[in-house]
Amino acid sequence: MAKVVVITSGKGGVGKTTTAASFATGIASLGHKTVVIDFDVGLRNLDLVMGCERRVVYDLVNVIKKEAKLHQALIKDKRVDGLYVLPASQTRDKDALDLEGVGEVIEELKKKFEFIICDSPAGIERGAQLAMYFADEALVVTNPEVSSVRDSDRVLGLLDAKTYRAENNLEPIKCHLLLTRYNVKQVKKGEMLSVDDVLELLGIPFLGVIPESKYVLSASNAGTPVVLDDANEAGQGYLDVVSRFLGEDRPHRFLEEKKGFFKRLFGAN
Amino acid sequence: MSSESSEQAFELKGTAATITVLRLKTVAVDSIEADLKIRVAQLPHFFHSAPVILDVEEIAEDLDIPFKEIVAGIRRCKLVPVGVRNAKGRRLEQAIDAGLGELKGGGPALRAAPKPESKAPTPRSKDAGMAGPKDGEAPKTPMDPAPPRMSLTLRTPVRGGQVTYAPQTDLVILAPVNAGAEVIADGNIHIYAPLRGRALAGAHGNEEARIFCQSLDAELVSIAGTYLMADELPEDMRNKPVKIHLEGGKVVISPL
Repeated sequence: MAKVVVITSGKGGVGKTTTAASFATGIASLGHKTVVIDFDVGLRNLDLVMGCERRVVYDLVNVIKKEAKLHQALIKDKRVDGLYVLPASQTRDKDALDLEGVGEVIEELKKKFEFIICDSPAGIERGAQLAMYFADEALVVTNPEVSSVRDSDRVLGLLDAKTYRAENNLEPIKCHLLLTRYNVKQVKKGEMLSVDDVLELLGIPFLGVIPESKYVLSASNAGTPVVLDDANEAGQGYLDVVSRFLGEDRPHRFLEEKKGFFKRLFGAN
Repeated sequence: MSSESSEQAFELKGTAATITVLRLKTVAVDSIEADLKIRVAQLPHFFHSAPVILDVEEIAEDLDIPFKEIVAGIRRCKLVPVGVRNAKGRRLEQAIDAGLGELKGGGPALRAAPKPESKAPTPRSKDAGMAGPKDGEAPKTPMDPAPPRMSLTLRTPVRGGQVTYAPQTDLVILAPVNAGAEVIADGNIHIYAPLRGRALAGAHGNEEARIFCQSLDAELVSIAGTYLMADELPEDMRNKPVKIHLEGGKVVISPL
């Protein structure tokens, strides 16, 4: 059974697209046929982060408007087998999407792929609601700060009410919390909300943290999903998250400060 | 000689059961059925297969009541008509013909009886130091034909941006009410988790309504339109289990 997963947050700039790119790449690299769809029509970004912007010919809107066939719009990733990108249109706006059209595209993708990852635009308007409408599971990307948590809470409410599963009284969408840009040092100083703080406020299962890392920015500029470099913490964080999502039990790293050389030597905390 | 054994086929016992009364105001089967459908849809579990009796007191004597058609209409709404009240003579015969039993008593005298009581202060309002309910706001009596309204119970968190309203009843919430959420009830509000959003009890002016919550971190609490904002909540009550009521026109918060 194909699974539709929406990457959503409400707030912008928390790392939805970074997460969508790394999450999809991670799942595909473990041997699952995966497609990642950019729902941010008008503000196309995913293709850049995935490094396939030069190969975009047709996009999601073309497919929905029946101007192109689905296979013409799908871009095959050059690094990972079984990974495809369905880009957004840069020239249209979100009104170009309609529920019926999106439903048809997802139905068709379900026949070919194991995982369909929907990268939601920010906000709670039409684009975001269409991205989440057909989801089976949701990754709620949240930064450890109050405004991001509040927006995530709002989105969780929508996931519970304004989706296909909710409207047809099916089992509710499974929501997972992903905390990105987590900085243990700042949490320790009380400058940043801790995992426990956020979990208490949102009350959904915890999938993991992605530690704040300058490497995320350079990877994004280079068009390489961070998950492909397991030498840096953010990439390791995403690999853990993907494995946990697929059912593997992995310990949570990055919740404690790394001990420095002297601390390790003297065993101080 | 058949010996009558001590085991009988049944026992006959009297019982006083609460039963829904359908007090007819018209004999138009269509409108009775249409209105009933709406009411049943509001509380399907309550009404499903519930027995009802027809009270025809308000139907003018000279009007013919099509009992059989009305009974059929009520059955289509998944209710079970079992009896008739305040029917006499030929009308009663027709009702019995339609399969209804005769219920005696339960006339206007009984319904009117509790009225004088409502002028006296209710004992429970003692702690609030208030007079009894105002005239015209008589508390519902056991003989009230309207079925009791079930309170509304929520088991999942009420999240930012969501509004939940429990009309004419209590609201019971078994999960957090998060910041930016709004919970409203005409009756009391019970929250067995933190209250971080807004809670408005007694939304239609019931000054006896209360709010209970396990941890007070609200943006706003209101009883019958009198409210306190987050900044006005007493510091020593914050994040504590509290009850909130109206006393002398002021919102009072006290520990649970």
